[in-house]
Amino acid sequence: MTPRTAALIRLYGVQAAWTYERMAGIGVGHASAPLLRDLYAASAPAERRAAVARSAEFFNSHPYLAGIAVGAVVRAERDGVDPAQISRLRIALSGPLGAIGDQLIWAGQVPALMGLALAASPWAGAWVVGALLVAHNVARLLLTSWGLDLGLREGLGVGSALSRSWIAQRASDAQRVAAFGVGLATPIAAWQLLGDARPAAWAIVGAITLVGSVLALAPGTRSHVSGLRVGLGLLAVAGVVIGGMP
Amino acid sequence: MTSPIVIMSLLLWATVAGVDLATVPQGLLSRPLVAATVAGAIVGNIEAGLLSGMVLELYALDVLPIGAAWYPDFGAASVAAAVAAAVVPLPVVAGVAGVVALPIAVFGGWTIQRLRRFNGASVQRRLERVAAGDARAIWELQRNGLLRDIARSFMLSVCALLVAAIVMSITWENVRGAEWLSWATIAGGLIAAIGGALRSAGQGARRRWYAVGLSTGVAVALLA
Amino acid sequence: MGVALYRVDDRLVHGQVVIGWGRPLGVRFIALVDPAVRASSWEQDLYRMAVPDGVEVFFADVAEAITLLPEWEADRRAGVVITGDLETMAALYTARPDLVNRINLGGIHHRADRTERLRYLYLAPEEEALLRRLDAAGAELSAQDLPTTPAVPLDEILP
Repeated sequence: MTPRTAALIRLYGVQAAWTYERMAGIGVGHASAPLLRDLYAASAPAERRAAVARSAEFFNSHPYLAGIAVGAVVRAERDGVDPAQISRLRIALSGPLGAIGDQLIWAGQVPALMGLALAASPWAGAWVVGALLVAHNVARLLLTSWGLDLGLREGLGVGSALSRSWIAQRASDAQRVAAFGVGLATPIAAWQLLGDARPAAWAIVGAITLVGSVLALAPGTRSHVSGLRVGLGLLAVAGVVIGGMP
Repeated sequence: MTSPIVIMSLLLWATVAGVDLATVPQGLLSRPLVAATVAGAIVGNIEAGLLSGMVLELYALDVLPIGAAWYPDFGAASVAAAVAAAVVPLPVVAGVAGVVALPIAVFGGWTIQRLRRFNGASVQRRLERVAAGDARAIWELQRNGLLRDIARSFMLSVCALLVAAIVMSITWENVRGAEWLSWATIAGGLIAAIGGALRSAGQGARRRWYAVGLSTGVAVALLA
Repeated sequence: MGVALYRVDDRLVHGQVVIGWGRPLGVRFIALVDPAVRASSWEQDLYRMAVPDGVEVFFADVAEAITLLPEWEADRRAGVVITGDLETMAALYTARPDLVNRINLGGIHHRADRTERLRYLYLAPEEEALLRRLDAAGAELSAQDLPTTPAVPLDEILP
């Protein structure tokens, strides 16, 4: 197995040792190790150890984009860049890779796929689950692999290479598809879940949804009104209603 | 659900779904629509699995695991929800899914925080070796983190399936007004999906795309 | 509109800022007050790449930020001012307490001399003393990583 392939596989578990202190630092160190071992094969052990220690310091980004940092740091080590500058590179990449990755994946690709899958499920049935898993994981593999190669190619120049790349535009597109997909899914899911319930049920669910959505968005209440809290609260109320029935 | 093979399969699947969320491979196996549908297939009622997954997915759409924010664990919760929902009348499926899954998802989120604390203590014990660039120490931390998450997820799965078994012992046909639970779960899910989408969309083009999607969805639901 | 949030976060611009806060507040500009980033063009490229369409990023050191604060406050768009450490935010507050009146502690992470106060807030003794001084001077301080989580006031962080 080549060092690059080993690093790519290890990037799948980059958050395995996630902590509040170093966040994904240990995982990034683990993913970097095969590349550093190869790079420092002919060097004194102390040099390799110093590079390994640097690679496992604090780091946090979107997990799918951590490969960009792994590649860039290894390339910078190969180019003989000053260790302090390499540490600065890691820190500087952390926030932006988190920001762009969160937009591309958590606010883009994932809700887009889940929304479209929800909307299609009344007709496609369980097959839609297989389709979304394949689509997401193929895209993820391509993204992780592209990121690692970009970092390895660009080193310290990874920032401007990212600026020139497709990633920001794709993040913007993915979020638009996500907005459309979730919008599409919501009424279809309501129709599918309520089915042929009587009009009173539709009226009750509609009224609660309207009030709850306003509270979830209003600046004064939104920090207390999350979906899970509302759901648990409504279940408690439903329990009281059922308990009070003759 | 009483067959040992079915129980083992459910435990295995719920554990895999849980590990997927926080550790590896983070490939959407833990999403409610995926976890519940597969669980429905395991117990022989895909429709109940799909419906449970659908209502719980609405809640998951509200969750953005950004930065180091707290997030719930819907993996084992969704598996247990599908198992319990597989044996109840159709109008109660969403309600039973909510009763089983929502508290377990919250509890699961708490266990992830505990896992990260244990990982932190593990790093502290190897701090000198990590600072000295000992690649084996880093490998041990990764391995132990994975094993710890497997243990966390397995224990959460056992708890979740026990909750499912308790809920399944209720004769839901005799519970007057049980459909209120479904209405509550569906309304909560819709609030979560709408609130999450509008917060995430912000203003401008994304909100317009949301409006177009919503209008299309309403038209599809009315015409279907 | 003007500055909707004054935030201390050592990760500077990341997902919690651009999505978590940026979307509900309708943020259209981010002012990043950090001398190291101000001096580094490649880091500025990174942060520009990381923000969504339609969001402008300004880079400033402390002196420039103090001069620009009234302009940012008068901006018709909503914005966020971010510093990577408490000292920088304290300097902004000291210079313009009339503008920087509410400070959000969004992320100060582990360092050997810091103690955990919240899971996203680790403070060194001198940082705690600085927070108490800012509090005594009238600054409204609270910790909150995301708008969907409750704010934790300073007297709960440092009882």
